[in-house]
Amino acid sequence: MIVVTQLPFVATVVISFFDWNALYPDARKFTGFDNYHQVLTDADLRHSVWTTVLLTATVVLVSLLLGLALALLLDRRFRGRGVVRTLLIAPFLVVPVASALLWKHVLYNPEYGLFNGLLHYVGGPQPDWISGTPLLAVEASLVWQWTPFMMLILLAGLQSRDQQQIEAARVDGASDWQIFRHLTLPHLRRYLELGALLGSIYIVQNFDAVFTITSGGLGTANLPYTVYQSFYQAHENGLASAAGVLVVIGSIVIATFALRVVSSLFREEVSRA
Amino acid sequence: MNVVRRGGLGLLAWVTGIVFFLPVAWMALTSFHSEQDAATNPPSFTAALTLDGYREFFGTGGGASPGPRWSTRSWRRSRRPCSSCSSPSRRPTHCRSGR
Repeated sequence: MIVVTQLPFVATVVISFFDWNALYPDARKFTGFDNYHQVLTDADLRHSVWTTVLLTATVVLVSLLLGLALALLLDRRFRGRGVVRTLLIAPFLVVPVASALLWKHVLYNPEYGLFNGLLHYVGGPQPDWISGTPLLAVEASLVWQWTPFMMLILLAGLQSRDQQQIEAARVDGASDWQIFRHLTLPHLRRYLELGALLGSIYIVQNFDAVFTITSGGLGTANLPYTVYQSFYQAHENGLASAAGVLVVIGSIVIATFALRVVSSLFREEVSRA
Repeated sequence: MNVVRRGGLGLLAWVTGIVFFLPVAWMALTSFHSEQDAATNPPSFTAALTLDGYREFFGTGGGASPGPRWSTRSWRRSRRPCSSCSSPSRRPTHCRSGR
């Protein structure tokens, strides 16, 4: 098992220490940390590291806040709650590539996209979404996909609140805001952390949306896309491996925190039971 | 006041739910439109519905299908060997000629 799962990664780590271009196989040589140095100093590559951070932070924060708002809305009783919940989960069920294509062609397209079509009705401008605000375009499609995920996690958190405690607070005259601020939010903290960490792990690795919507152009190339580019277009095996190892290290750091949060959630459940 | 607020929040939940679902719904509607109707500005919400897109995907519109092979296989004829039929009366027609 260890051989099967870890060997490709070990090979990648080894390759990342070589100056290895597939087009010049004879010029292969050991260079130590040169590739890492290049990833972190080359202007384009450093920019892609920065894009990854920016993309991940924006998408996670916005979808977490939207998800919290939607979870609070869905936590109340109203007519057709089950239907609304299904409608809200639907974006998360769309295949990522299909969702990226949907946003690129069906929604954003300046000629026949739905956004400009709807703007046409109200006589608004006809912006070119993708070339005008490329990073925002990618982020919006990802937020649309990940908000349902955050909403589900936070909804589970909301429904595991101690109702008696809230009842008692209300009898003592606490306002809705006070209950939210001092009871709900501390209870939701773990769930917020869990959502943020799981979301970060997935969005750091995001490739589909960047590849499909902008092809990494206009300053939207993130690290996974750069790995793809330096491997399949520049054939720089060593450099691509170094960038890949950096993505893995980033994911592992985030995942470690995620696991810690999950285990603390379980501990809390056990101590309550 | 409280009733109005509760109704308002329920309405808000419905509106956001529909907004989030809109791209999926629009994709589903567009899948029943012809290529010309699918690419118009302003969008043609009420264009004639057609199954052409699905026909092409399943390969019955002529030409090669991009779908997996099993999706385009003809289901009229049973592919089971005749010996696997349990009762003679339920055998597919191609099995009945004494084989």
